[in-house]
Amino acid sequence: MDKKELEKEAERIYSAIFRRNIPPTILERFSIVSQHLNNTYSDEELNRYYQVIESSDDLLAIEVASRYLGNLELLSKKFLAVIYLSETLPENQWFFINERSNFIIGFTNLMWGTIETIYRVIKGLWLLRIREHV
Amino acid sequence: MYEVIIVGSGAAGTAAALELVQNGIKPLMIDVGITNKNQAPRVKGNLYDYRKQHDSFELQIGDRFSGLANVFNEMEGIAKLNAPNMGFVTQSSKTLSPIEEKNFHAVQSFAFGGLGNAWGAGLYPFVDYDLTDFPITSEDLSPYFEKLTREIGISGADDDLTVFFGDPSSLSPPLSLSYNMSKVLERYQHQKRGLNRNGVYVGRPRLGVLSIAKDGIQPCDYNNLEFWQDLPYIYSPVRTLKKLIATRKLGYESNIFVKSLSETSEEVEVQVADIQNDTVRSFFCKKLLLAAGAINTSKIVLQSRRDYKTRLPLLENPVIQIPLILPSSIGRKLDIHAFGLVQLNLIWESQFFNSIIQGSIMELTSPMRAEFFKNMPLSAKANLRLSRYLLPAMVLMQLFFPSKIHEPSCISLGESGSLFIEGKSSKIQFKNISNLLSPLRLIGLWTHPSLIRQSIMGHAIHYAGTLPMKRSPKLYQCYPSGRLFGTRHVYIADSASFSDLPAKNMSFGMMANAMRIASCVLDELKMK
Repeated sequence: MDKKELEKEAERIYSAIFRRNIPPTILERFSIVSQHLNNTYSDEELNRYYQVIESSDDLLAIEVASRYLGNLELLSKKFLAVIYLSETLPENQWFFINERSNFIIGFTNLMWGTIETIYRVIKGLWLLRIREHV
Repeated sequence: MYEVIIVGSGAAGTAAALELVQNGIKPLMIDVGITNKNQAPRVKGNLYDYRKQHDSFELQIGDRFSGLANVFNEMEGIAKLNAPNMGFVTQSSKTLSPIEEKNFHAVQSFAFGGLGNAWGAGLYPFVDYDLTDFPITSEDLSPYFEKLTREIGISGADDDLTVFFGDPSSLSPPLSLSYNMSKVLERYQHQKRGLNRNGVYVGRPRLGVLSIAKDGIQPCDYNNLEFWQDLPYIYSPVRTLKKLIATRKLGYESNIFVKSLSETSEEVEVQVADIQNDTVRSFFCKKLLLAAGAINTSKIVLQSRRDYKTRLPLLENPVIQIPLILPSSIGRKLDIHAFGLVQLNLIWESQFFNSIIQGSIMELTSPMRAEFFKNMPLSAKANLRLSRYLLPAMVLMQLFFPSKIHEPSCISLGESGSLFIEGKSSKIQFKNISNLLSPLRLIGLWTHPSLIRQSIMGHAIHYAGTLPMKRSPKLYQCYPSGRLFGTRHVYIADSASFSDLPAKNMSFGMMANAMRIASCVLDELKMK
């Protein structure tokens, strides 16, 4: 896989989760992990994965829907790898750690996250269905 | 010719060495003895302060990406062993002692100090209930529990669990509780009567963790580093070993991998591979104590008899992981100043299992937040919200069952020299533990059945009973003195000699038993 493709893959996943550009250190580390993961999957699975990455579809929606269906494991693994790698950067700490206690904010966030997930699952299922037909 | 040789430097070997040394014998310990050569940084201060100021990749993931085992499905669920600074604990185990596994995931260590380098330091004395199927009683072990408590410095409390955990008189004060844990204990105190009626008791663990300074070692500093590096205030056999070796009371040879043994009426010959020079040689001794861990001790014994047919029983604690939520803590800030391992224990006298079951309740403040994402149900972005607002309201209970609730696994030796372990997987039905969930709600801990997971056999890392002690032993069993049936000078000092495996963490019982067996060896030597 060439460098540009790799950058695109990493950029797509990172920006889907964090809504910002991927830092170069994460990109560098992700490229090693990504290649290692690719070696453990068949060509057919890799093709399906890269078709999703190449498309402009909502990656968050496809990832959560396919996680429930169990049919695109590689995508979930790469999401998880990006999350692990991102957590090591000082500037990303606030994504993971809450430093101020507030039950209302906490509860509202959990509710919002649940509603958002329901929306993404429905959207992801629809996108995966269209993809099958295509 | 040595008087006594001990094979293995883990908790059992170290305790046996201590007893021999205290009685004037200088044993030789032979061991592979891998040490930590990792260049990962060592943090001074608080984990979360460090993460705010430094890229924590080398500390938490490492150049070999060992911290991503959860992504690669390797050693899933044993986060502490995947930390870059802890990699040496299991290093080379797959090449030194390959195992073919079925429904089982064995964790072995060839490190200096063994698995005790990465343990949770739960040190619980065996009481008579735990020893029901043993040919010994708690009185046989109690002098050694006392000696070990003095050596280690065990923290704990005299509370509702004293009846299960034994005499609290020599304990140092318990560790401070995190916010969540103090809420749980507070609620338990209010609801105690009803809970006890249901056979549920909650209290402080017995930990080899210093709550007050001892021998110049500073006490626990509540910096959440327990998963990431060895910490002086958490006891590991290395502390005792270094002391004994430095004072020349214990001989120690590393890079030695024991292959097999043979004996005459006067001596034992231990055939070993010298890993560094790739040579084979022998050691000779009057008495041999095998303490290489239940799996490797069994391998040495089977290999010595060139027995490729016998399937020895292998006991292990089935474990269930129950994530628990304290709803009132939702939205709380993360407790960045906490002790990241077990803070409370729960004992459940289960009528269904007709047994005592032990729960260890731990804070989730030390592992990476990403460690939990795999089991989070929402979209990746929404899971970030769970990480921020729900994880600080969660604790994890590991529920340990006695091995007798199911058929033991089997271990045998192949002609190629590799071991074969077959786990007899038996799923613990949710309905059988549902009786515990309503008492948990009374103390403010909520869960959902879909979140409860049973670990694969082997993940408790409590292996025992392959060469059990019996009053009238047969082949592949040992006498109450630890002497292996059919031998004159070979003793089983580790948990391989256990007759049973209770739900209680076995480490302390194993150490006390190793000292008792070392004492039997001393008696034998004196008689000569």
